[in-house]
Amino acid sequence: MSGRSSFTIALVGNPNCGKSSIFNRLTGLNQKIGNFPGVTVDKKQGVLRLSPETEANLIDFPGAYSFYPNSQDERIVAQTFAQTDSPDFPDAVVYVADVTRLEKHLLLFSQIRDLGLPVVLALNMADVAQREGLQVDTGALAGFFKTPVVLLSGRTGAGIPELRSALLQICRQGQPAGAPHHSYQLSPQEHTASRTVTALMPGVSGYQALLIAHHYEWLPFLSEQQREQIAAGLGDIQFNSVKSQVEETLERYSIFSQVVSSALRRPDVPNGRLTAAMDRVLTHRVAGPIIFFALMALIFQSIFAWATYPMDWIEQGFGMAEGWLAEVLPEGWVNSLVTEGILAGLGGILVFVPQIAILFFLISLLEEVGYMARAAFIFDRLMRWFGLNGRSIVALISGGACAIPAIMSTRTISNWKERLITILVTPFISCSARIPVYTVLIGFAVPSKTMGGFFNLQGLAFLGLYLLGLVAALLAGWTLKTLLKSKERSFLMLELPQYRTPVLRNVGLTVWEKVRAFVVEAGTIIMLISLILWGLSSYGPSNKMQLAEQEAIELAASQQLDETGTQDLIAAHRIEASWAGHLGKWIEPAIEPLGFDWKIGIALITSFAAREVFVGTMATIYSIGSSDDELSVRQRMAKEINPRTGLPVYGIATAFSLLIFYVLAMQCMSTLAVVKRETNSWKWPLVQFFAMTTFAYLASWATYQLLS
Amino acid sequence: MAAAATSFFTLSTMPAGVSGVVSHFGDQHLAGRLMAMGVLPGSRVEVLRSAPFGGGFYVKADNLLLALRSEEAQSILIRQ
Repeated sequence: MSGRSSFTIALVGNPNCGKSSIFNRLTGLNQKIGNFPGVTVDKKQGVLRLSPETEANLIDFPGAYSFYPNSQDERIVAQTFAQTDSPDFPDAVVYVADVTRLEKHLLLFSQIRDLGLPVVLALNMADVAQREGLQVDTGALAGFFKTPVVLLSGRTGAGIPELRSALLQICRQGQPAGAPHHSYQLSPQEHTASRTVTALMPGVSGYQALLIAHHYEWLPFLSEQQREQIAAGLGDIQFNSVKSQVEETLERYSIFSQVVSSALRRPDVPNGRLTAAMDRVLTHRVAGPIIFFALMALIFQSIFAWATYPMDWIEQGFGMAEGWLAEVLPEGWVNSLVTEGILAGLGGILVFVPQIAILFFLISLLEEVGYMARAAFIFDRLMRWFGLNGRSIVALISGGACAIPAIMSTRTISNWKERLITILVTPFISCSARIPVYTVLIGFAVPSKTMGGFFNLQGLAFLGLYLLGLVAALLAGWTLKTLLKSKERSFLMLELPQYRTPVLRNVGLTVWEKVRAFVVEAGTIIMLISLILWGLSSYGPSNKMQLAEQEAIELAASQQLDETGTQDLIAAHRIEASWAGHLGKWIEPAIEPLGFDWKIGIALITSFAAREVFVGTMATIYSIGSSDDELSVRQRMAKEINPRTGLPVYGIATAFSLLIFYVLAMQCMSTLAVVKRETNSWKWPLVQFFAMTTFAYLASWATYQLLS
Repeated sequence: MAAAATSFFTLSTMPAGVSGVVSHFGDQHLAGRLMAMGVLPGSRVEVLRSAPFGGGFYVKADNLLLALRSEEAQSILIRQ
């Protein structure tokens, strides 16, 4: 390998071994995050400069316990190492193991060692070991495994330089000579299985061939023909894959457990007392759930309280920029495209950043501490009724602030079906963008009365809308659980790590990654759709827009309106004449049974940019665009009379129907863009859009017909 | 793996606070994963408490802390 200057190095280890701290130490901000081909499993890569002329591409693989995977994350590890010509197949491996649990963390290491790849064994958590008085004989381990062993700490940074020089040496010279003392010996049946595969696929090594024999049913790099041939060959020898995996695992443990116990010297004092004491309270039957909800309420509150300010700044900043550019740029379509199209779209993307950042700051803090695994444990049973996973509770609750970060947080759910259901049902939870709409409409639906001296009826209705969203999410989850078929077995079997103080560097990098992924990947789709929405509301068929404008100016003159009044009237006439206006009128027959007119139709279309746009659109349509606060919009809407019936347009029936529609319908392009990113296909966002909107339509229809 | 003289019971039936030694596993699929995580025949296990909404256990296996579903705990057989 010495002739090359660029290498691929894999960072591998069990979950909870502290791998990401080491990755962050080695690469810093020099990392990018993407997906492994074909799946939405995080693939973090970073440039690792080992010497002026030696550079390596470090790939952080998902945590895995062995080459016999139980989740999509673990499959990535097995499939990459089983395929020598995979683009991610490493030249060398850094295997990270928690030194305080070394006897449990070496199974995958011994499997990787048998592939013949150069490996550096990185014993992490040296700081904890020192505190606990644990002593390690790294020389004995290095001698036994015939591999460099480095004791280090991702948390303090101790030992990182030694790891770098060990890597540089291994890249220059390859693995130190000699196979490990006792590598795993294949059983006679495994030998035959391995030879069956090598006969069909020359070039794979013996242990690789055994892995292919175990996993040929799902390994993506095999052709259909190869699959059939392997199946036939293994059928002939009656290869029992499950049994062989269990026996290999046992055999490997027995090979290394002795050397590990002689290389480690533990003090007699038991450790982990703090964790035990904390969990007595935090996972307690009664106190556990209460503390969880209190924590979530706190997170929820901070998103609301803290995100408001930066969101206001972003909105005001973009408002000012739009105003300034509208003045500076010559009038015409370029001006409108830049200010109302591009800048408005960009603002619409960036306005979500504070919520995403704050949510992920707090969630990854809890994850780093080790609390999230406890939350999954507490809620697993409850969530499973609805096809969800213990970890889904976090997404459901964060969905109350915004579905976008909530859906992005589902990556920690390893079962694909449970993750998909969580993604699909989370948008039913009422997010903060629905609040302005509820505020405007609830006044028409429910009188502002106090019941029993305490409960405000409108407040109760507000609560009811939230509960409706939650119930819809759980029902949808239950339905999807029965509809979706999955061969993947669902596990909990979760390691509950010892509580640790969080490493702020890791938290910060997570926030940075999530924000960047949203802005760059979902942002492009959001931008595209906002440009379409801009086109729809600023252009109309042929010269109808100009005609409408002319009309509005004449009308304003005859009514002797002031400057603002005239501008508002022009805007109202323009939006009616635009494509959006035409669309609104075109869908009117379809939404009439719900009690909606074309004006609401326009608002439904523009709401796709974000639900709260409803309020602004209503203001424009009713020509009070210059004062689009909720109170004046509500007052103006209350005056609206249906010309045919002579009754107010926004009666109880229409208001309730519209509220129900806003609770249940999928009206957020940004969410759809994120679902597209997280599921890696357009199929699921489309299914979600049509299913939710149809459901909303039917529910609103029933509401309107019942109440009118 | 059946034994004639000794009797076995599953981890899910063990009272909290009593520890035992893993003998073998009832389900090979679950066994593979449990062993990969470090729960092996010979490991000392103890149920610390059951999950707040039922359906699962908080288990200590040697120096590991694990959350297991009922069927996962049922697959672990303990030697008396």
